[in-house]
Amino acid sequence: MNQGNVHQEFGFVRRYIISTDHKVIAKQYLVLALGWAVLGAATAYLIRWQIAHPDTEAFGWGYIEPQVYNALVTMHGTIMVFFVAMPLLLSVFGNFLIPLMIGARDMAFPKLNALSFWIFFLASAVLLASFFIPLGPAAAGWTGYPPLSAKNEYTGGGYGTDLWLVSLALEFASFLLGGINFLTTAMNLRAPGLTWFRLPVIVWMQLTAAVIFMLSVGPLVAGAILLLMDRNLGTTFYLADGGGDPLLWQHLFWFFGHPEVYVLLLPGVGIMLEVITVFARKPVFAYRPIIYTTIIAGFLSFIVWAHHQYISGMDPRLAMPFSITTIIISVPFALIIFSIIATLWGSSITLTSPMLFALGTLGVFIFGGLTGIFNGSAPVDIYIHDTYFVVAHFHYTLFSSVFFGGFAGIYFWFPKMFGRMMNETLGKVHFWLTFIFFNGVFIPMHLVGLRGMMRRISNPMQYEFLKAIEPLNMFITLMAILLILSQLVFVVNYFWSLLRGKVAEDNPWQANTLEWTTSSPPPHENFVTAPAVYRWPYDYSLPDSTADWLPQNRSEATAKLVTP
Amino acid sequence: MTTQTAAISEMESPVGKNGTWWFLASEIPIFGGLIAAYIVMRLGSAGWSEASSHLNFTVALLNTFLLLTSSMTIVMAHAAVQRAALKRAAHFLGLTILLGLGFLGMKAFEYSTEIGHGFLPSSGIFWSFYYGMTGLHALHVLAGIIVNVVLWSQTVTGSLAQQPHRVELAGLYWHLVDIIWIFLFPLLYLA
Amino acid sequence: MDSVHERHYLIIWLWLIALVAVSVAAASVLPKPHAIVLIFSVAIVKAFLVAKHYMHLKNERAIIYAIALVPIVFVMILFLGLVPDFVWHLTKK
Repeated sequence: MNQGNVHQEFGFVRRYIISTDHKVIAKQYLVLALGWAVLGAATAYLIRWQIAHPDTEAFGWGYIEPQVYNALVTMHGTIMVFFVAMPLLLSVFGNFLIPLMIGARDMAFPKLNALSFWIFFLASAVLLASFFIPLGPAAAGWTGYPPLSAKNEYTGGGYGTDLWLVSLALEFASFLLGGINFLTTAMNLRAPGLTWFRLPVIVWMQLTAAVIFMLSVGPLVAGAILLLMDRNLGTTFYLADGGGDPLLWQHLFWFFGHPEVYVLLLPGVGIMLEVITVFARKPVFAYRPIIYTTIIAGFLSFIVWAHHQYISGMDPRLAMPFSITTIIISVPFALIIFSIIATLWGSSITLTSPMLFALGTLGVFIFGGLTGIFNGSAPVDIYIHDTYFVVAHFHYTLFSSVFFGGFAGIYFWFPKMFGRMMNETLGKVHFWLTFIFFNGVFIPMHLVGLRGMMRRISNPMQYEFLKAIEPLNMFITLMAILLILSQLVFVVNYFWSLLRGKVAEDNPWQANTLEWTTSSPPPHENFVTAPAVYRWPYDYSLPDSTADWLPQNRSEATAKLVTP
Repeated sequence: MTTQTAAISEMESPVGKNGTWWFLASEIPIFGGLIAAYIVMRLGSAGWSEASSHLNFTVALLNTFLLLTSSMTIVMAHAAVQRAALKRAAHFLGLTILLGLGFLGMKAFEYSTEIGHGFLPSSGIFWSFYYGMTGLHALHVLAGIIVNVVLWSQTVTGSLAQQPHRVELAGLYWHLVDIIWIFLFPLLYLA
Repeated sequence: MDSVHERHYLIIWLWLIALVAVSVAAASVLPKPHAIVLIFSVAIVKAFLVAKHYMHLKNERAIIYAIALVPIVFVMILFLGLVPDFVWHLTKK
């Protein structure tokens, strides 16, 4: 179907607002996710201010009441997980890259793709609206445990929690539809010659993440319906005095919540691998084992969930089996991490800004993975649960994938998305500032947690035993403010490069995957002629070849003739 | 829809079918989560049989019959579409829609009777689950009816001929809704 | 050719109706525990019949089977995880 000329005649609205082009939709998600990131950072600032200088007026805001503090921690978690991490890692990179990397013109269901975005937009509007209603947004933590979330008199809130639930339900619907699109597209629209084991690792990671999400979110949707009923129809699913049980919510939530963290991690790992192979000029080490272990880890992610509930009052006999499965799940991830290290070993590394961020992802994730082992073991967790040690742990693992991985991806694919190069110097400055201040925030946070500082309380200084760590908390807050300010370097770079960046060629990084065989940015139908694939994506520095790299669409015959 | 460029894609199931099955796969844990929660809570406490004895078994039995039959009629519609007998397909789709509407009508009758007797979602945990599960199921039945009506009108006007496989796909969804009821009926009314 | 398909669908429908009748009869005739086992076994058989014959699962590729089966496995896992707390709740009440 030749749509080239038809699309030239579409107006602004049809081309950029209600577009069915996966590349435009990816950018729409990018704008929305980055916008939410600003709000998420603002909540982080206020939270850190309150902890370091309790009950003083935050600069630029004012006094933070305890109830407002509860709403802040709730919104920080909700925004960062569901409105920054999910759209950035899955919707932006999945939507943009999957059709391009498989040599397709667009997703299998382009209109469904557009619908997915607009449902997500609606979810965003609902959540944003909850900030402005009387009695404010949800304030029961991003995990929304009842009875706190089931009864308004406990949080002092109004229908903010109901809006929160509706917003999440819409968001889940959006991502379910997106997942269906990703999977069907990859199953059906691959270019000739592109067998499953010639796909770039990031595609495998996106697909596994999509499956994990689609199969884990159902029970939480069920649980959310039950919570809405408890809040509005007088039912008592989660209320003990009515014969219900708050633990039911916890199980339903974490049955989703744990696989969800791997949904967030896998795309970051995929980005890491794509960037590292390009800037190390070396094939990915153990490609098939990585894919198999990713799928195994995906399965295992469904049988570890109660490690979030060791001290919840659940049956203590569950602690041992879940500790065992949690320790086991570190094995496949260790394999993947070692494979990435092996990929780097003996390679020829160029430290561009995407590469720096990819290496940052690796280092930060290793650190976070190690503290995960502490948390996963029930005897240790009994001491550190609900302290800042956990907060430090998950910020290491999540930040590694979402921000270090996300920035690696943005810096790497910016030329392809926008046709311009980002400024390399600013990129390096952004990386080093982010890396230094990130560690400045979260390394001390482990100590603060081990000292016993609990989560989600607005004034830790009310406790005598925590007064000694007040200087540490103030240091962390200073680092956090500097971390947030450092992101301005990225903002400046992003907008300046969009307008005045050096025009990008088709393949500025000399990479093998199919998206680099077309122009920057690609035309509407992605490829002028549909590509065919002859090899896997990682033919870099082949020992028996003079070529430094061999694109996937380079056949054997032309490979011998042409040395790029 | 874009034409497939690749030999690869011809070896896979068609796009629409894969997409529909992934959709069904995501629906299973939603109802599965509700059903699992219901079963464990019921097994863990007493008194639910007393509550369930107030349900209208006869109506539910009739509803089971309606839904099972509608599964049969929609697959008949699919068979008719496969041999391009569009008029026959329209008849069977129409029957499916009527049976679905009958199901919803009976459900509405049940709900109004129960509410009239004072059995609300807040009347106890059995009732909470009953309304939650059957309510969510009924919403899915409604969605299916809407899809079927759209397809029926396309069959009648003839525009279905451009994408005939959609009847099969709508059927897959409808069968899932039927299968869920196959489990809800004994769980709520027979146990 | 297709009247064969249609006859086949009708036969499956008759089986489904018969199985419903068996369940209802079991509920009133058998003692409670036996009835429950029978009724749920019958439900599984009915679901299987609909899936295999109406949803044409028997004609589909292995991947479709996997897409249909894996979610069920995960729901089973969730169920098993819930049993200690909600069925055996020895630590509470």
